[in-house]
Amino acid sequence: MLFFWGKSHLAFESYSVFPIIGPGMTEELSKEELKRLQKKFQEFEKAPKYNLNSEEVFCICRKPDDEGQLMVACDGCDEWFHFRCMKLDPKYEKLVANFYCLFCDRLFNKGTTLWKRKCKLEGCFNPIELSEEKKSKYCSEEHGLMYMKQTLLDKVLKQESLNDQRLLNLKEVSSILREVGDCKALAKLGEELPIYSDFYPNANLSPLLTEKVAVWEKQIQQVTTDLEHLDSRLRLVLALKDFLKLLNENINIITIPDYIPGSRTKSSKSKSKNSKKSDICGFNRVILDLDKATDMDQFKAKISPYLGKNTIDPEEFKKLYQEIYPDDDDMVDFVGPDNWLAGFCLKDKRKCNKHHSWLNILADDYYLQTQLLEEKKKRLQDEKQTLMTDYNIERWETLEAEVASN
Amino acid sequence: MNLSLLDPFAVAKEFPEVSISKLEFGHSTLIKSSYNSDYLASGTIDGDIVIIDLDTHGIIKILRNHTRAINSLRWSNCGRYLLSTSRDWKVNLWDLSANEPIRSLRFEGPIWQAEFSPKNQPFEIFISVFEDDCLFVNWEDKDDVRVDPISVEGSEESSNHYILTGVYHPSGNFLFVGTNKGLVNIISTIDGSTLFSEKITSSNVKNIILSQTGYRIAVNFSDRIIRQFKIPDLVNEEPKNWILEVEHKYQDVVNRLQWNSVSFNSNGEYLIASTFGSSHEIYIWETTMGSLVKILEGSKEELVDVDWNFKKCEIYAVGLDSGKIYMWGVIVPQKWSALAPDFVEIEENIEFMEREDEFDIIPENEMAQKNLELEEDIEVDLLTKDTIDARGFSIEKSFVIPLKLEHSQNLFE
Repeated sequence: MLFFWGKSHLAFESYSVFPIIGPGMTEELSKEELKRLQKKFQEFEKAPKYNLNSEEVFCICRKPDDEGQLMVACDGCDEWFHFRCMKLDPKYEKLVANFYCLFCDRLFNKGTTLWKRKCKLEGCFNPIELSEEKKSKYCSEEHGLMYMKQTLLDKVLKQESLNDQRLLNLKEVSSILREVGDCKALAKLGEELPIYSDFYPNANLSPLLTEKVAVWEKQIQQVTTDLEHLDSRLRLVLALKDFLKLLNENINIITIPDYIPGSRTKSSKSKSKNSKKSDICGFNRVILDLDKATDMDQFKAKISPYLGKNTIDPEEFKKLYQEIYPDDDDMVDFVGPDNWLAGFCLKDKRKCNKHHSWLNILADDYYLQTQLLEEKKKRLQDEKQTLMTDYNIERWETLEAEVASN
Repeated sequence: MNLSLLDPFAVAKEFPEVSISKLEFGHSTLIKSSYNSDYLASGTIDGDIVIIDLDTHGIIKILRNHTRAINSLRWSNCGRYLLSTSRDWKVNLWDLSANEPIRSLRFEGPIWQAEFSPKNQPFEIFISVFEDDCLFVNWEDKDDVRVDPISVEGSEESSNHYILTGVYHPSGNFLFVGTNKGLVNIISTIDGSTLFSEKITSSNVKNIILSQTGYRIAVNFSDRIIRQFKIPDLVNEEPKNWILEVEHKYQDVVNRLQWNSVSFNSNGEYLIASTFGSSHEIYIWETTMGSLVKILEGSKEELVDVDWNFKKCEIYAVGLDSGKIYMWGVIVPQKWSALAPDFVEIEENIEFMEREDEFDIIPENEMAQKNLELEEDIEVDLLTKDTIDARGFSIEKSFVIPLKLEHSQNLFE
């Protein structure tokens, strides 16, 4: 018996010299200490596994399994140790992730004792809730709520006791919390800059700023007008496309005697030179010079009776057409009498290299210009917004300073 | 490394010899380096103009206004303005300190080329329009753009006779133009009259280039021959006495290659041309004797546009299929001993023989005296700027394109 006592005493001593605190204790043992530990391990190894009563004995104290004594198994050597002998508080019971005895840890480097994270609530020694979808700082939801309530109350009450006016009191906190409703809304608080009350109307702006804002607004206005202008031009080009279709149909009606409107193939019966189905280029120089709104109106007025119609009265068209093409044999670039057909390039579409795909070129250009202008407009608006925001912040700051000085 | 410290024989090479790099920013169709060789403008097939910094090879600006492939690009001498024409019928003048064109004209058809006049840059320009009269344009006043058409005069009068390309004489008083009937005319820029006209051949003129000195002109015809002429004395001689004397004809007699694009070097001593078809090379001729001195290889596709960057001694060319920009240059061996003159670079290991006085002990005050004497002798001038660079070009202050870093995210949108 004496022998055992002595042994346990020795083991105890060794424990107190190198307490198991947990992970992170990595300082190297000196040679001397290592030797001492080795010696103790040999003693521990040699110690009998059963006592005189043929009971199995465990731990460094070499005592049988006393009912009710909390024990822990080492993950390195599968030996059982008493919590008490390892100088562990029994309340940490549930927090042990893996345990390595002193020998496995320090002598054989099999591993170090690891602990689970403790619930953040004071007095609770359960591990935190951990799962794939959820990472909580608390062992359970109730404890989380309890913790938050406690912290909030602590802070607010502490501040109230300090009697600091700049901070919120309990009443304010509770009213804010009731107002926002949920966590997301609370997190969003303060993301947007509050507008200072006398920021609008602009009467209170400094003259310099008013001027600046006016310049920006003028530019934005200009871009908006340009955009409208472009849009109307684009619509005109698209309308021209339809108009050309109509024009082609009508030329075909006149030049091909037995032409069936809408048919794609030319009549097989007529073999005369004029029977070739026409597909004119239809470019008109006028549309390039439509920078002035009046020009555009004039041009629109000129062709508007025919826009959106399905047919032009063949008789009327024939008259106009023959005015331009008295011989009706070659389609040439024409500058003639001032009727609405004048100015259009009447070359065959496929032979007119010069105006090749003019509809697409114009439309693409207008699309690109629109895009560029819209980008510019956005940039201008952003810049104006930044200017206003800066001013707003400045106002708030001066107000704060005034309050503070009072 | 500082070029002036390196081996002068390597630095002063006349023409590039090795392929050094490839750049790829969109599908490039056209390139032009700025007069001061700092920037490269690349026109892409979808109408964007990409400005590349030639020191870092990074994009510093993307100019968007055209919707079709870029046809021609010209830098103003100051490096601030860029003139672009495109197949979308537009001519734009860009001020590179802003992102929008400051002048823009739309014509009634695609445009071949636009050229800055040496006088009154960037507002006086020459434009050649597809199947139409060429024009002198003065757009100094934005609301009153003056446009003067140039009529084609010459031995052959025909309805389908058009000027395709032109180049200004450095004096700015004369314009050399080439027509689709093989005529080379000299036009007065003052009244637009044709002073001289000569039919060289009957095929199209593809390019006309003038050496910077104004002594030589090279005309690339579509009959597969580049003809090099000596320019007559335009100022002192009467126009009727002018003669265009053919100095050399450059052609590939064996393969009968067409030439896509031609360019002179800075003093007109060398001429380069890219080839049409399956041959993927750039030919370099020496212009006084007319001999072929080098063929640059390295691309795996047909090269379209070529450009010679004088100050960097580099040649750039654009690949037809991929739109990559190929670069040839001179690789100068580094010579770090130039920075520490008491060090010597050796080819191989040598056994060190100590000098007689190597380990002599010199009294300190004597040493200090010696150093003092040495220092007194050398006077380092840190303030005066060099007037010429290592390659002998005069260093001129030119426009630096401002960079707005906060908008850089919009660059690639």
